Amino acid sequence: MEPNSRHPLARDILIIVLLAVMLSLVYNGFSPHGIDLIRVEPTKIAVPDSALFPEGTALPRQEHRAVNDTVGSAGTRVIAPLHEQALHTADSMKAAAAAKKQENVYRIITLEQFKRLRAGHRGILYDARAADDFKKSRIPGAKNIPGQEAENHFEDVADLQRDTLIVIYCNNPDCHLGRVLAEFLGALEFRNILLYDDGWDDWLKAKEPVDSTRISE
Amino acid sequence: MLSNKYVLLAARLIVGTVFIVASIDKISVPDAFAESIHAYRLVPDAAVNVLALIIPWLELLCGVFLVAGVKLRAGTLLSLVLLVIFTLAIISALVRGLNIDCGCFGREHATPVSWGKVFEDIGLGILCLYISLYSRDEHPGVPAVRDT
Repeated sequence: MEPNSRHPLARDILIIVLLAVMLSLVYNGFSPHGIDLIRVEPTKIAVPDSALFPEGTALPRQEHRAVNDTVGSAGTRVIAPLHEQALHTADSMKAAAAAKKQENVYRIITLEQFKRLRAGHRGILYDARAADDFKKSRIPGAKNIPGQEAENHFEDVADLQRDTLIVIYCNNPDCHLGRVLAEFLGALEFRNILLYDDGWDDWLKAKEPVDSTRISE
Repeated sequence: MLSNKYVLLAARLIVGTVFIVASIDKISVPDAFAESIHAYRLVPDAAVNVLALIIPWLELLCGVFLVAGVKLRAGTLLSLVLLVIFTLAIISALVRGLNIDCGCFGREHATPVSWGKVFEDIGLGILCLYISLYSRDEHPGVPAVRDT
């Protein structure tokens, strides 16, 4: 008697698993949305103050350090190997970005930088979280373009100048919706996109003001 | 009542349909599902994309086999294993305080991890157990369909 006939359940499970493996590899090979078999970690580059604020108004050095501590405590943020030099000059940041595959490079800002941009009323703020979360509460002044349905909001951004400063936030560094929105806007040739990577969770933790006005349908 | 073929059929259709619906968006946009898996921080980076490719197809095949009544025991058992893994992953995310997308139904239906999702998965798991316990042959409720 063959082993397969003695263990029909094991045989059937094996067949389903092998079928799934085969179909997934074949489909991935032909799909326009196919992905690499080995994940490529997104590159996040910390934007230096000198690239964001006019000369002479950069944060003191110790504030830089405090920001870095925050980054470390998050435990999950992946900053590019060029992080250190990127912190020093805007040029190195540009060079690093150019050297990498552009679609996988994200320029991130800290809470302090984000607050300074807001204080200067600079840029447009987009909340990339799901619409339901946005309707409950949000950072004041934010507009909602959920990352998963960014394509549906083409008309909201189509007429904007491509050099408009755009700041995007999601829940936290693990939330990919912010990166999805950044990719969408990048594909529309917006050149000045920043990701407040620590996002909503960090904003709440810092006890910053929140707009909790319920938005109805 | 529990061994009634129509009740069994209803259970199979519920679990099967959920699995099929859950798989479609993940198959069409695997990078979003890969991000969801990565956010759980449970598997090494090198395995994230491979899992993101294979799991949705496993869900689809299990769902189709459950609905069709083909390879029922294997499909039910695999569905149960997937549900146990999903449930444990969500519980671990909740325990660690991760505020992440559960990745349950793909990017189009992004919802955060919650105890509600845990109970949904447990409910589906109970249905899988019920199907495997009360299905006396390979294709209960659909006598016309033969397993090959």
